Amino acid sequence: MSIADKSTAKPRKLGLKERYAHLTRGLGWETTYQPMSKVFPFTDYEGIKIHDWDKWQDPFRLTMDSYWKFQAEKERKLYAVIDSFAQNNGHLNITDARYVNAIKLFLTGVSPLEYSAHRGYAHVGRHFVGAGPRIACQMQAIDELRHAQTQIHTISHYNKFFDGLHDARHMHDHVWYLSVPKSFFEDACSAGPFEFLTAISFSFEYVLTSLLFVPFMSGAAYNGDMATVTFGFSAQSDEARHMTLGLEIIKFMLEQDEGNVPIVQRWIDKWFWRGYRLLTIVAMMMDYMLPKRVMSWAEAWEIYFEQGGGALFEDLSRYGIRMPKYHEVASKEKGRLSHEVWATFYNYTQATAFHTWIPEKDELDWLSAKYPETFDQLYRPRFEYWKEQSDQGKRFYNNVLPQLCVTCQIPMIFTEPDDPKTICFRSTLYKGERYHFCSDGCKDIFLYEPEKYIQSWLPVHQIYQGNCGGATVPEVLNWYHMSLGNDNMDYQGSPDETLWNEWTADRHKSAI
Amino acid sequence: MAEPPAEQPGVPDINKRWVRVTGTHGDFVLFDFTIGDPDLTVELILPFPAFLEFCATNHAPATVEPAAQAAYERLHRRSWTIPLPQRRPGGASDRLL
Amino acid sequence: MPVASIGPYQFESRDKVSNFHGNQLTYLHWEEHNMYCAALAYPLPPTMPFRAIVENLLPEAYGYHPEWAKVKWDQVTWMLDGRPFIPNLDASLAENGLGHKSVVRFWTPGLHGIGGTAT
Repeated sequence: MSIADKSTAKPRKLGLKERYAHLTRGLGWETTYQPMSKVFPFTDYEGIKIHDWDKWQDPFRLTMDSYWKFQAEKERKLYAVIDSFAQNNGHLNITDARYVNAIKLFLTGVSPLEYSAHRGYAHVGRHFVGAGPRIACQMQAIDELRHAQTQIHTISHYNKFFDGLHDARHMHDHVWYLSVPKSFFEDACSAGPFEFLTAISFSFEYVLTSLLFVPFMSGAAYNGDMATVTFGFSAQSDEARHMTLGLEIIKFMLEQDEGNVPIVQRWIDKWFWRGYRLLTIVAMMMDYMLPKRVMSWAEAWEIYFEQGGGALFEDLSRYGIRMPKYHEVASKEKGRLSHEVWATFYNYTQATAFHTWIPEKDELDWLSAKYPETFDQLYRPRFEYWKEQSDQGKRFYNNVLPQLCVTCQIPMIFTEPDDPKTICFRSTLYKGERYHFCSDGCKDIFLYEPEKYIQSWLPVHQIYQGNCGGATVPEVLNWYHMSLGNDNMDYQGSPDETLWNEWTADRHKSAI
Repeated sequence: MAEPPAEQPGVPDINKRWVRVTGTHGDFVLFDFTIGDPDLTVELILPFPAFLEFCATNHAPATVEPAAQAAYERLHRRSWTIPLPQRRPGGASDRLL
Repeated sequence: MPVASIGPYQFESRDKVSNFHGNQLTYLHWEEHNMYCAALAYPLPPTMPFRAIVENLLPEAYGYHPEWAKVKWDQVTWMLDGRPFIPNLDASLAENGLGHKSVVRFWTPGLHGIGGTAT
């Protein structure tokens, strides 16, 4: 990040260091009319002890005025590029219309999280006692709002041509599979400020986000979606700052008091597992939704978590922090995750705002090659059977709603860590009522704070309670704001496919 | 090899694109991709054959960071044994490669 | 552990049985047939005979599967909430010990999914 300040040439202006001091630390003070504990009521109750807020290191030394200037200039270029792509019909350069389904999932599942992150950082940016972390959080709050805006702006172009993109905000708050990302962020935002930063800044941004952004942006670029690559421009340079905030807050807590270590470790365990479960949709995007593949989910997990994350936790071990609990389960699942999830959405595409399909033969071959130990043994026969049935006009749909995990809210589709043929069932009794989980990781999270998760708004149960517009598929889809027969069902025979084939035929004609 | 231009006013030209290899990882190339303006840069990763295809498709000249040079050349040599990606019939990618 | 909070923090279950209009939730799962990606969730009256599960619900849900017609019902083994279980078809769900959010898993010997892949 270039914030080099040339103002030293003008002696009447403040030096960089002084200006930084005034615009950050200078904005905080010891209150006198009211006790500090009343002005900052959320800093103590999580049990984190901070003895000296001035020990907070801000590696970027960015002040709000330079942030504003720098981002405004970047944004100006960014929007110019976004408009150029729209004017040049950028949507025609993508590899295949099936690709747009990844964008649909991104806009409904991920972009609203940027907005939630904005709210979360604005909140904690008010509640830290130290001015250093407060300013860092406020800047990130603006970053996240900008990300949400650029993503919506970029994707609005696709909304002119493709189905399923017309009401992302409403869908995020209502649709069954979107309760997974929604509840993830609400869990974080309803925690205290220190847990929020551990959850989002550290576990998500620092440990897991490269799994989302680098392979996803690479997939977009390789599949000709330069419009989406533009929001990568916006996000990635901010991301470096966000990741640094994530690491700083962890080190700050760990250095301030030894008693903080077990609390932080528990949060890391919880938020690693929650983040990992959230990334199942990324696994599916990478292995199934990109017409031209970048890397398999298993490869991404190895590069970005097993190697990258392994080094990070080795570094943190000097504070007494170990690898997140159940990381080895995530590694055992890496050969199955994307297949189990794609099959799930194939089961229930009658209720999704994007299409699914059976991969074509060369794509199945790619999966067989990337997953030599699992794909032919477990999943390929399933997809081939479905294909055979579909070719005979008997496309499979699962007509009964699935059991959901109370914690991550994903259908209970995951298999036993050591037995990929058997669904993993975990449960517990709390105050006389049964609760079900997809994994030991999700069960542990519940057991630590059951009062939080007994409030889970589980979409399947909400439908059965009569809270989702009715008891039939058309009624529920109407309540989701999905257009039956357009947004949902198989890609084959969809309006998206018809339109894309027309465009392709036109282009071949005009090429001749 | 062309370098990204220095700061320029006005609208970035989306047809001007550059690639800068920053490292490798197994068969993958790590690189920065720029459209029109150095501020508009994103970090990407692609398998080596896909990387070559990507540069060609985007008419993006590539430079290699000195620290990545040796590893990149190793990948380049090894790539004789890597088959080129399958083309999809009828897809837009056909005419691009 | 209680939730770390700034005030009293106690809530009712959002899925308590009284929210289901006289029904209770039941989850059914045919083991080794993961083409159906997860156990199936049903709101069912506790007075319903277990036979209705076997004769109505399961065939409707799983009838599409090529192995469904081959199920030998006298050989099926059952599990209720993690314990071996022999259902009494003519008794009600409640009399069979099914409560709110009970899980019923069943195995069909000799049938291991398409190509033996638990599909």
